[in-house]
Amino acid sequence: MSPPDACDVSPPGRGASAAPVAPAGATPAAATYWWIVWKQFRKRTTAVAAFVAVLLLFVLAWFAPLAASDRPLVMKDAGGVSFPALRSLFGERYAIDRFFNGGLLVLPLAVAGALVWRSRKPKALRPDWLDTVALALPPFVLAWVVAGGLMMAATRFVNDPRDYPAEARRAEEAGAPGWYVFPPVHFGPHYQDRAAEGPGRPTADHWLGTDSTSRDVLAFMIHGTRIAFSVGFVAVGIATVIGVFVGGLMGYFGGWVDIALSRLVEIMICFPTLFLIIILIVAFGQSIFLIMLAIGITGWTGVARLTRGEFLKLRRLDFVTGAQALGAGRARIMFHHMLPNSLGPVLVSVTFGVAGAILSEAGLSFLGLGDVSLPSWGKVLHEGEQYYSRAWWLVFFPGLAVFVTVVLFNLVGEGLRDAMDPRLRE
Amino acid sequence: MPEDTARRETLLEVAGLSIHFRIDQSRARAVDDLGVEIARGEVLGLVGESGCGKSMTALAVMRLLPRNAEVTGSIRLGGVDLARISDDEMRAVRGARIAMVFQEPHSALNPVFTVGSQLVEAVAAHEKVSMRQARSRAVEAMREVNIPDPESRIDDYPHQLSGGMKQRVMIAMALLCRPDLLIADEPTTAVDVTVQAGILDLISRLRAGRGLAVLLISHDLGVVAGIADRVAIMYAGRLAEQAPVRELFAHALHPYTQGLLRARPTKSHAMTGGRAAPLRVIPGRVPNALAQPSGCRFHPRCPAALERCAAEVPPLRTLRDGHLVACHVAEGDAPPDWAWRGAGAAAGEKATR
Repeated sequence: MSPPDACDVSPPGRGASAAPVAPAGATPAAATYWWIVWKQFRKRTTAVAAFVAVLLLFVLAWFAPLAASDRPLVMKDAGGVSFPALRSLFGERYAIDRFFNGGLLVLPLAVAGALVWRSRKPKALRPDWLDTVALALPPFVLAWVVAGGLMMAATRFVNDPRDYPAEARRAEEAGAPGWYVFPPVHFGPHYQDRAAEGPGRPTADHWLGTDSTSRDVLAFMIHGTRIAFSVGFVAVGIATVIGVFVGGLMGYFGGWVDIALSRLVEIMICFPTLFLIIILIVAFGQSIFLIMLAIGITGWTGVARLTRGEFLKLRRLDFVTGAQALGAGRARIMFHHMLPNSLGPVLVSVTFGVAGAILSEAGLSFLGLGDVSLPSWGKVLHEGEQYYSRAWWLVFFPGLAVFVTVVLFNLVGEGLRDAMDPRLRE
Repeated sequence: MPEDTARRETLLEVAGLSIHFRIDQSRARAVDDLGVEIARGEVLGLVGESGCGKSMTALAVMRLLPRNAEVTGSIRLGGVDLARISDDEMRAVRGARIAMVFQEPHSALNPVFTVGSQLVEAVAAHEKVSMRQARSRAVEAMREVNIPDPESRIDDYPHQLSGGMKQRVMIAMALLCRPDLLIADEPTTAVDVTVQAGILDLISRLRAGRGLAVLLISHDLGVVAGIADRVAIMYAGRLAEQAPVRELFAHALHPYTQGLLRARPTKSHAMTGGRAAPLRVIPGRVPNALAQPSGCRFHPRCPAALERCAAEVPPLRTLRDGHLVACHVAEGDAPPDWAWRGAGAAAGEKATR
């Protein structure tokens, strides 16, 4: 038997087979392809740093309503002790917020679960922290999607019109009994601070300044991560599903299917996508979901071409012929045998695609075609553009946020690409 | 024994098989007018140089040739013409009645799944069984092909197994649904010699144990000699000679077969490092399938070629008991090696001309 690369950790069991949990140390580490890629990825310091930074941005997105809100985390007034910020987690107006709140709720469970799992491993087999994160990520994402879906389906918008910061100020001035504990940034993205005049430059209260209607720019930045990430991943998810399907058909069947679909891809590439997106948005309304859909259905061509190439390559490999020789059907060969083997380059393009989609959404919002109800970075840029000569902070900070996020995703993508390249294997 | 032809029951009957590929305006004639038969429980060795159409024949039997292949002739499995049944019916034949093992064990298993899940899938493709039953069948099959500790190896990924192990897994997978015929396409070419012996041993043991018929494809007469009952020699897409294995080695009649037998290294080569007696290769090379020679396809390389060899395709003749040969010059009572006696230098000149 040949032990695989220097793998000190056994990755999670795969496959639906009822595999008995092997006693630790009894079997050699089952190193899947993805585990080897991860091991290679780990050796690239810049990429790992960017990966960690992206995770931190995600943490910021999950915790946004507890990090920047005009609702106190805990407060006591004449009505007793209450938790307005926590309460509002279950009464968000927008679907994106509900989905992320689902993630926020399962995050502590996931962290606790990972810690317990890790501490139960014998010392010799205990994975280090980065590996623990990598191992915990897939189950966490699954739990998040389930919890987020439940939140979207089950919670209703609860209007809470109280102006807590003003109440807190009045109570303090009047010397009334009670206390308020606000989040670190005690303004929400929709809260208009009547005490400040907008657009106001950065102050001790508003660290990154305020916009023309006295809303806090930092609160925008923090809540904008939710918009950016959801646009990035949903749009790319749509593009990937379409691209993999079309590319798979092209590569598997070849012949006239390939010729016809390749022409379709070429037509899509020639089409000025920005105009297509603008037409879709103008025709159907400025909803964030429409923007995701529009970016998704115009951005699948690259994935389709990659998948086509992979399928053409795989089609000739013995294990595909072997599966046929064992009597496997066409759909099973395409989606069970070939698809998982073709996902490597697709994953790299997904990472770059997320950066591209974030950029597209920022661009659309900047042009005034975004979803006006949501605090996206591009929307702040759009508003700031009118005041750029006297309110630089309205342009600089959202621009920086977009720039940094896009660079981080590109760095992760490059690291992943190199990690998958066997010639660069260390 | 396969020699007593009266009692054998034909399992696979390939007759008049031609496989042509249309490439631009020309036609590549990969296989022409090939006829072979395999009886139940028989091992037929199909031998020839690379590119002579052995693997094409195997893929044609499985109906797995690329779409631009033009296949004519008949392939009958137990009396059913495989060319005439529907795709779904063919899928039921693949794996369940005919199974195939490939040359390259490293690419023949899907790298992203454990061998267990691939074995389970092979069972589930043809039989309605529970997960647990399929898994125990898989463990059983792995044990049958001598994989140590199958209960734990079943959860390994292909790259954790050695080449020989993978080839054993491939054989286990091929035999899971108890096929009647196993097509082994150069099963030992990619593994080293000790492993090769083990695999061949395994195949002949399985054949004896469950009456499995085997079409063993190889370029190596030595591999075939050990386990085949009969041997068919192919040259440039045509059958050159076919005979029971002992008969073939004792009385090779076709000049090509004789050349192959002569080309094997002997003890004296090893002792002298090839200085005293250089390896006796067959001069020239295999013709391009796009431009096959006229008449007997071997005539440009043949030391005994006559003029009519370039003009007429030699018919397959029965010269001795169960011994077929497609050669104008061969005679039934010829001494072995007749075509090459004193012809070494002459043939060399002829081929380079």
